[in-house]
Amino acid sequence: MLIKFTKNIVCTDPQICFDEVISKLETAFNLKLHAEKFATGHMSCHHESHNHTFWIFLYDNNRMHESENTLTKQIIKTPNENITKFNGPIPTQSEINSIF
Amino acid sequence: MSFGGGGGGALPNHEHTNIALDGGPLDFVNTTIASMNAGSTTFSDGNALQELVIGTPAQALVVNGAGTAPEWATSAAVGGNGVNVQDQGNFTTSSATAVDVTNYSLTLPTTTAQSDDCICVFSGVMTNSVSDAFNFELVKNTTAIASSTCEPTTPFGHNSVVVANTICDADGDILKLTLHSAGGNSCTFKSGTETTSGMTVFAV
Repeated sequence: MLIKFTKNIVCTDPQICFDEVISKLETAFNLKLHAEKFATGHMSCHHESHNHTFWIFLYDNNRMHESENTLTKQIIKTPNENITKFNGPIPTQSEINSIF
Repeated sequence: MSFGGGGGGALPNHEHTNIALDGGPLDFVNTTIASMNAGSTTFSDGNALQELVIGTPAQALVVNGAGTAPEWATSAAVGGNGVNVQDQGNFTTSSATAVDVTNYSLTLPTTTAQSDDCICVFSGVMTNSVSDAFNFELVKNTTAIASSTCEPTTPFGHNSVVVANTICDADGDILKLTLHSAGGNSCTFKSGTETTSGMTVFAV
């Protein structure tokens, strides 16, 4: 499942920007978005000034990675033995907004 | 009595020179006319002037394959140099499986050049905050054709340079850049803040 949204953010260090957001998300919603094994999702961010785009993927199936084709916007599914299905409650957009 | 009235001799060939009665130079500045289309240019085939009708946008004038005449041809790439992408935004991911890097895709040129190939050049600067290995791949449609792995050592947060270069068919396929980490830790492709980051394709 993809949760995609944009934020009016200006950051000076994209790595710090990303680490802060992913840490808050994992803590607030009990997500596992960065792990070699048993990750239940991952996050990507395009740090355009005043227009950060976030992709939060929560995996729908075991052993199946999900990402977005940046051209077609279709979901790419790639087998990966280390993927674990996300079984928790899906955070709402307003809940996600609250961590920013 | 002849038409010339006698004493005038034969008329010289009409050459449009500055000699009196030779027509004078042709005025090519919006005066002389010819049976040509708008945008056309002329060349000689050795016997007579020929019309070369204007080409299509972005085409360039080149010598034909026989080396005997000019012709319009689709240039190998924008500006005749290369197709280039260089995004103004940095990109970060925590994925341990390859994901598309935003705004890093292009359409490979098509060329009628003899080799029918193109050279793909990628150079990037990346940074991270914890120990991990990060892999960049150039993917042609769905097949990875070049890759580069970077495993920064402490202290983290410094810029590390990655490069991936290859040659592939110039066949109009899509070429894109993907990124992932080995251990699921986050890394940032610094496209927006490091001017040396970019992906370029040259038809050869």
